[in-house]
Amino acid sequence: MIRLVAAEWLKLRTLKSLWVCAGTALVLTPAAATLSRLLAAAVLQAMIIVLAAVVPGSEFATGTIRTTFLATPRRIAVMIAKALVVTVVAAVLGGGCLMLTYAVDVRYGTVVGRLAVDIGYCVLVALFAFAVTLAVKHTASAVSLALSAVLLVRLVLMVVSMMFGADPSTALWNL
Amino acid sequence: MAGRLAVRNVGLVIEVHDLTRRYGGVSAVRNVSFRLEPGVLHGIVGPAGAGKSTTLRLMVGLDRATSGWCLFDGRSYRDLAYPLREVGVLLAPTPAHPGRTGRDHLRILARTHGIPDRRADEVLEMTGLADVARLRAGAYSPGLRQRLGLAGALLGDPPALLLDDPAAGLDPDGVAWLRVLLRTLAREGRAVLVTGRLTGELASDVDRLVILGRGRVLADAPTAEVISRNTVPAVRVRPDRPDDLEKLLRGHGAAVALRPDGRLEITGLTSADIAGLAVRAGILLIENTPVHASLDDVYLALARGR
Repeated sequence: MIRLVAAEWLKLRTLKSLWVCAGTALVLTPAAATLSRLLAAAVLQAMIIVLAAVVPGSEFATGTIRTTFLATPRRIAVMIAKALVVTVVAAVLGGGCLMLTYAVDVRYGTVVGRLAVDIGYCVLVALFAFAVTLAVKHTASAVSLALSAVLLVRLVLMVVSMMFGADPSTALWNL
Repeated sequence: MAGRLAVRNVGLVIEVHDLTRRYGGVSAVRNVSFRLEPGVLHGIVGPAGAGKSTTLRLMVGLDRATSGWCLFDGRSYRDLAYPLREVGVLLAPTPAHPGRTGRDHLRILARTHGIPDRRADEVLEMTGLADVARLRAGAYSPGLRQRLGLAGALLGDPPALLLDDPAAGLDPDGVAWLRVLLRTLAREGRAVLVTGRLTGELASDVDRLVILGRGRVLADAPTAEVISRNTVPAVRVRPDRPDDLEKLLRGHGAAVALRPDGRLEITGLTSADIAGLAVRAGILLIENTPVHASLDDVYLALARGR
């Protein structure tokens, strides 16, 4: 399993998409936070969704998934290794962006407690996008599906929480 | 590394038994059985759509067989713990991510098996890719891409190789190089299988032929035997007096056909017989050539026989 994870990490590391997404997220998230926290959250989520979708999506698109399965016929093990890499990358990238965001905008307050929750949220979003990509086997459609689903869920949660009279800014998934 | 692995694994036998794949109501491959022996260069040949690639994909579990199985020393591909060390596979066309360098493509495969990067550089050298190893695969020509696929198949130094249309995309130099490589691999004791068209570059090189037609095995025997058993040897001659020679040979029980280029095609007599008869009759033979039957002819004969 360690070998599979090492292979998957090398695979992601040698893709330009990783560095483009990570760079974009690290620059744009704090920049967006100076305007609005909702916008910052949307940017970070979008980048994480793209990253998580690219991991399996690029292999389906180029047919290299067949090479992968030839080297490792245990397909479930391959997918677990990929999911692990996605999890770690999403957590690290999410954590990095959030810390930068907090540095830009100290209004976010009790940083440490929130950070853990928000990183967990980033990972959930990433794994969701990953699973959607496995289902549709196509990067772009997976990204749009996952992104709209995540934004919709967010909207629904906000509406629901307001219906119950809660202040949306204190909601759990509020990045 | 090369020597050690080859010695340890040498003698892998691959058995395909009654492999069948149906898509809907159509059989792509029907009851295909054959056996691959160590040290032998095998070829699966047939026209387009005969089921060559499908057979290969079924063997390695990239496609699920409707029935039948393929075993590698008694184990199915999915049960191989380190498949790259046991069976090298070349897919057609060779998949590679266009944004990744050829070297990284191989390093990723190597990681899954704990194979050192040094081995990736070795196979890049073997396949003539050392100079382009650090270029993105998207910039490779079809020939280079094919070599990258071969490098991947050789990465684990496997005792068996399954190569789907390995000559595809290679230029004449590349095909000549591939011929030598395949022969060397077989001589090292590996079981090698290539697929190809009937008129393909490699079809006449292989030791043993499996001829596929419409998903069925039409013949499975040593190459020379397949050809001699299914075609009648013919001789083409160009005499100075065609009419006289035709009469003469017919008189000796040969079948003679006049070809559009003015040559006579004769079956039923050897070229030595014909030369002897012509000399005695004072007929000059400007050409006298035994014709080697092509695999196309063999295929047509087999397909008619069905």
